[in-house]
Amino acid sequence: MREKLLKLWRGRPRLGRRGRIVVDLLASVLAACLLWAAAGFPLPTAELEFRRMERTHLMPRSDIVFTNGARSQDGLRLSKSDGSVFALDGTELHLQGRWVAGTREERAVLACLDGNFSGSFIRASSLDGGPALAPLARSDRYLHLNGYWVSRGPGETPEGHPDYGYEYHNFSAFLLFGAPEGTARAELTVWDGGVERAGGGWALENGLWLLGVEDGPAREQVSQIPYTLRLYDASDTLLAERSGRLGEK
Amino acid sequence: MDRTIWLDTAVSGIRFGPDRRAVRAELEGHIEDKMADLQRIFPDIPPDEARDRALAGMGDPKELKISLAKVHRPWLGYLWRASQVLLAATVLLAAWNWAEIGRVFSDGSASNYVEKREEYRERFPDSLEESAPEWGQVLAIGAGTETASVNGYTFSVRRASLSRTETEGGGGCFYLDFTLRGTGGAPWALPAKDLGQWVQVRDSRGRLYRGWENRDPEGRSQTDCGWTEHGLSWREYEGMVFLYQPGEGIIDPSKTGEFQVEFDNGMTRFSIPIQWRETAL
Repeated sequence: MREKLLKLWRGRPRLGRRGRIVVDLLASVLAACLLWAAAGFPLPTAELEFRRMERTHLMPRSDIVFTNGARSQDGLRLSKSDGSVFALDGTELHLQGRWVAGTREERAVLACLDGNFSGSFIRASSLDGGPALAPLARSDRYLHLNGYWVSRGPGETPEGHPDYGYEYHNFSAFLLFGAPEGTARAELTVWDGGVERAGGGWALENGLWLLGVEDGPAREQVSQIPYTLRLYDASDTLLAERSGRLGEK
Repeated sequence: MDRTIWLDTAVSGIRFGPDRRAVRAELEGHIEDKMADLQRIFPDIPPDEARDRALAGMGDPKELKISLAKVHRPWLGYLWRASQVLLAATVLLAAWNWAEIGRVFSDGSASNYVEKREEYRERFPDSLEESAPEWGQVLAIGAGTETASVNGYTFSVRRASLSRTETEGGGGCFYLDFTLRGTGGAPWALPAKDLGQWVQVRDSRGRLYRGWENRDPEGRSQTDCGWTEHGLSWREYEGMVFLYQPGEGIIDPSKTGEFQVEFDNGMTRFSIPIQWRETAL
């Protein structure tokens, strides 16, 4: 048996250097494909990941209207996995994880490609012709703080120089779809385990708003949390009001 | 001329080390052959003279250096060495991750214990006579009558069964079990693992069996479609429905007519009717 194997080995086709390089590269590509598989088949961009999530979750292709994949300008992210989005007023908003949202007809699709608190998920919700609030969190998890913006600290150093300390403002993030035209200010209040958490928001591109409520106890499942949303125009006239539970479509 | 100097000069134009060593060994062999020839023809020739004549017969080492440098292009050697390093690195990494790689080809992942999933499969006997009594009496076995095509995948209800389990207080309750199978798609785009969250069952009277809404006062529940298994081009979802409705109590399947497995994620909806192949209802 050993002799046979040795004979086979000695009788193998002899390749030149070019042939050996080709064989090595082909085998490397095969091994690299296996490694790609072992890593869960990651794709290079958030958009490609989102498209794959849509397909594998049996959702039709939507128009992407939101992603937090912008390059950070303030460079003050807490983690490399955090992503940035810029409000129309220039504020840089940081969100934990990678988020992509799309719309198609009267439906909004929100996907978390990876997140500290959420893992990856995709969810469709009805836009229903009016403003629709989508928490950036899984419906069956808690409302964690997953967004922040950073302002320069006040004051000056004892030597009289500007103080370069920074203040981090944390919030639990929501996306608002379908805000009425002319919306200039948003107010969002949630009652998480009976404790009131309030906040405002920032207008983004594509008619979206990113809303955030301040820190709170994170006691109830997201889908069970009651909320009230009020949208005002520039003269502070109430344009729309919506109440319900975050899990309602 | 010293043999070592001659050899070093001749191969000094070859920049790729392994090639340089191989050519040097070959030239050295030729020189020794020539010396042996000379010593055979002229047995009295001194070794130094035999060496000098052999070297002289090999030619000018500087000219040979130029010719060898032209023939042995270093980039091909470096590329070969790089391809070897790359191959070794990727193969080592692949071996290190072998367990993960194995899961690409076949994997069963359950939101519950694997053992439970294995027992659960006994609810799909080939015939009613083969049902496992410890899981209650299987009353009907069948499969879906249609398939649904969505996003390039084809979904079917590969098998379904109805069973009756005795309860502690007497009487019984009924379960409908099914295996939803999605085929199509490459290994990197199989139907998602968590599709089961949008699967439900409806009977011919419009009753919906899903989620915690169908949990009875004793805590028995509901549709659970969280157990999955997959191969290279398919994924299966094991579903279990407790036939209970709030306000109505336990539902007797002999009075409900047909059942269908439904999928509804808010954007895509399909349903697959179940047909019983064998029934004792």
